[in-house]
Amino acid sequence: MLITSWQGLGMEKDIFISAIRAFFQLFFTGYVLQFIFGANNPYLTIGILVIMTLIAGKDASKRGQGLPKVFFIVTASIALGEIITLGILLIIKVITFVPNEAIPLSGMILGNSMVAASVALDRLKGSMVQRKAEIEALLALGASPRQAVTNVLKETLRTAIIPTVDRLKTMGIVSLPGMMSGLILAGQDPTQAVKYQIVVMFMLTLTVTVTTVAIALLAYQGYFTKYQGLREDLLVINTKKGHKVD
Amino acid sequence: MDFILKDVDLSKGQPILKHINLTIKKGSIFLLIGPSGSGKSSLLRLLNRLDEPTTGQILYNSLPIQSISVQQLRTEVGMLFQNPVMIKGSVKDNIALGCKLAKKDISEARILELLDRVGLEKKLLTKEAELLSGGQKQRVALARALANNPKVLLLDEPTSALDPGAVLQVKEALLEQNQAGLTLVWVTHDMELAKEVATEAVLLVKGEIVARGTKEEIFNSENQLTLSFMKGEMKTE
Repeated sequence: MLITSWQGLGMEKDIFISAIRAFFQLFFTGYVLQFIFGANNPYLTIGILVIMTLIAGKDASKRGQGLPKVFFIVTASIALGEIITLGILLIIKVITFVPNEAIPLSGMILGNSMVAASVALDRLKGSMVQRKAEIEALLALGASPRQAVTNVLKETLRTAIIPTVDRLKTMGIVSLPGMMSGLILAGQDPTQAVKYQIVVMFMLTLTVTVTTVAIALLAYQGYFTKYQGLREDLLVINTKKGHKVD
Repeated sequence: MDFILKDVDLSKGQPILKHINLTIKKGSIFLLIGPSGSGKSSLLRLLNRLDEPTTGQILYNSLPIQSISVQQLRTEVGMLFQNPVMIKGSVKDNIALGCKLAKKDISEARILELLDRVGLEKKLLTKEAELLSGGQKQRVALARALANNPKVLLLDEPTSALDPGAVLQVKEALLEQNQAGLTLVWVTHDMELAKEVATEAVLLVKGEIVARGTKEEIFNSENQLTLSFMKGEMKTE
């Protein structure tokens, strides 16, 4: 908080509230999970996954404030990533659909896709603002909105996916990922923990890619009017002191 | 007539254009003049639907512009901006861009012809477009717009960011296209240029047309607002 204040990022309140929220949420989650694991009911598990997805969607959609249907777009994109990834893990029998496997894995999947969704929405807007002149030049030449934002979409996808790819590159050398560390701490054979982690990392990369592509392809349309002009009211970046940058 | 505007208003939180009524004739050089912030560029943007009027009607070739597909309208009504945007690639890639977007083929001979029409040398064809000078970029942008065979060209101060030599080259290229039948709707601050090229003009102040007519009628007007603008006494809004 001191560092962000010193740098004038205006994120102190955000960091403080997030830290307090994380503290209480984790305690609450511990008790809820204890109850759900004990119940071992598939419908209850699905219900929990739906709630987790909705919360992830609500949180990530804040980055796209003002965009039409942003909550629906973000939630649907995160859900799509979750369904595909969890589906593959179930089909290839890496996990079974029991709460103590499906819920923690979904937590990892949703956490990653939520971050990717936030980054994608943020970059999409930034890139739309930066490339406004290019987009209008292309529209004026007869391009469709989809054609006009080709470079914007490339930039958005790259920015949202690069952190996951970079993490893959240094995995096991710079950092021991959470799941693997947890299994090792719980007394699991490290080679067995590694096998789980490899599958999970590939799945998380898939999740991030699916979520980001879905968000980019759905959300860019919100920046255009129905007659294919740019919505300039959305192409404004608010800075800390409320100055607007066109 | 290429365009008829009937009681057009544009508002974006605050009024930008008020009760605009005008007719732009085929083959004319129609000048939009006025101080900064008077709504000239906003009016231009309405003509290829980069913006939409709040109220009123715009007719293109006697048809409401809403009845024509946006892509078709923008192909027929091209636009040059103050700062030309070059896409990554060669001059050839840039000139072929409109055709590529419409999934049409364009021959090298046609690209060379367009290059020649805007007064650029053939050797520039393979040059990276981003590396061109401002005047060259604007002429590539013109060739790119002409590749779509437009009937009208909207010009949003296309020469204001150029040095005098480049202004002359771009102006000559545009006048040549007008001679070939292309309608030009031209936003400019340059009164000398306006006096030289206009066939008709309107003076916009605070989003309203305060004077209109042929070049002679505008530039010989006794209207107080017109005189004030010509003398550079009008404040930028």
